Amino acid sequence: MDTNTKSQLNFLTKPIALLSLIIILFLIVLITGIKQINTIRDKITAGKKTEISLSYKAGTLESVSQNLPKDVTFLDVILPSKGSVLYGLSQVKNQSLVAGVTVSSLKTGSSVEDSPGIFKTSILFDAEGEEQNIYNFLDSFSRLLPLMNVEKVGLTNLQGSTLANVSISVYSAKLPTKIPSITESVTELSSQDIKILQELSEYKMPVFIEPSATLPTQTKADPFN
Amino acid sequence: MNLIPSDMAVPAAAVKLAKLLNKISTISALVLLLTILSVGGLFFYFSSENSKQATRIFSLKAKINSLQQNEQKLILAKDRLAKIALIQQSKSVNKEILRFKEFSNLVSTSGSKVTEASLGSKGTEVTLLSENSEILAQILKPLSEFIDYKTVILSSLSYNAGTGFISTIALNIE
Repeated sequence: MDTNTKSQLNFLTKPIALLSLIIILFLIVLITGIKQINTIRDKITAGKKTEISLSYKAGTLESVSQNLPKDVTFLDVILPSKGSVLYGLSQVKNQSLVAGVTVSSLKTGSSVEDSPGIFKTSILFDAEGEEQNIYNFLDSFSRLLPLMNVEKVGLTNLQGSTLANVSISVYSAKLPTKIPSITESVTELSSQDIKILQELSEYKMPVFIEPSATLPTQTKADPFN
Repeated sequence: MNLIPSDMAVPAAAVKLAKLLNKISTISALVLLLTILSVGGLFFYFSSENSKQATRIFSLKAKINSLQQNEQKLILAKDRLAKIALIQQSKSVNKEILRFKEFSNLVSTSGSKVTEASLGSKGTEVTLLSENSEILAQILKPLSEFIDYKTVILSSLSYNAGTGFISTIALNIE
C-alpha cells in the first residue's frame, strides 16, 4: 500500500466510523424500541380482553339482584343438598291431609345417583281414599317442593274406595364447591332459567315448623337466703 | 502558497467523499434523533395506556370482589337450575295421572268400572269391569276417539257370569 492510499484511508476513517456508529445506534434503537412497544401493545391487547370480560362479568353480577331474590335459600328447598327424603315424607303426609286420603306403609329406599351430581331416593306408600281424591292427591306431587316425580302408580278399586300403591322419587344434589376465578366469565340467567324459576315459585313449599323457645321455668326460692 | 508536498496532500476525491460521508452522518444523526424521540414517545404513550388499563382492571376486580355474594348466588342458581332442567326431563307419570283421570271419568260415564290400573311413564294397563255387552260396547267406542293415547290394545277379554265382562286394555303414549 502506498503512502497516498494510506493517507486517503486515514482521512476517511473518521467519517466512516461516525456513519457506522450512527447506523448501528439507529438499528439498535429501532429494533429494541419496536420490540418494547410491541410487548406493551400485546399487554394492552390482552388487557383489553380481560377488561371486556371483567366489565361484562361486573354487569352480569350487578343484574343478578334483578332476577334473583335476596335470599336464595329456596333454591336449596327446590333441590336440597341433603334431607330431601324428610321434606318428601313431610309433603306426602301434608298432602294426604289436604286431599283426604289415608297414607300407610310409608317406606323409603336408598339414595342412588340418577345423573351426574343428582341423587334420587324413592318413597313408597299406599294411599286409600275416594277415587277423585286419590287422583287429586297424586296430581299434587307435580307442584310440590322439593322436586319430586311420581314414578309408578298401581290402582285397585275396592268397595267404595280406591287403593293406590305409589312410588315417588325425591331428588337431591350436592352444592357447587368451586367459585370460578375472578377473571373467569360467568353467564347470566337465560330466559329459560327465569321461566323455570317463575314456574317453581308457584310450587308448594314444605311446611316448616319453627320451634318456639321454652319459657323460663320458675326457679325455687333459695331456702337459705 | 501550498507548502505541503504534493505526495502528502489528500486527493480532492477523498475530500469530496469525506464531505459526503459527513453530510450523510449529519442527516443520519438527525434521523436517529427523530427515531429515538418517536420510539420514546410511543413507548411512553403505550406505557401510560397500559398503566391506565391496569388501573381500570384493578377497579373492575375490586367491583367484582364486592359483588362476590351475587356471584355465589348466581353460581348456585345456575347449578340448581341446570339440574332442575335435567330432573324435569326425566320420565314420570305426573302427566299420565291427569290423562288417566280423564280416561277414568270416561269409563265411569259409560257404566263400566276400573278395577285395577298400573300407571307407568309409557302408558297404563287398566282392567275394566262391564256388567254386560252393551256397557262394554259403550266404552270401546269413545276409546277410539280418546286422542291422548297413540295406541289402545285390548290385551284380554273374559266373561264371568257373576260379574260380567272383564277387559284388560293397554293405553300407550308412544
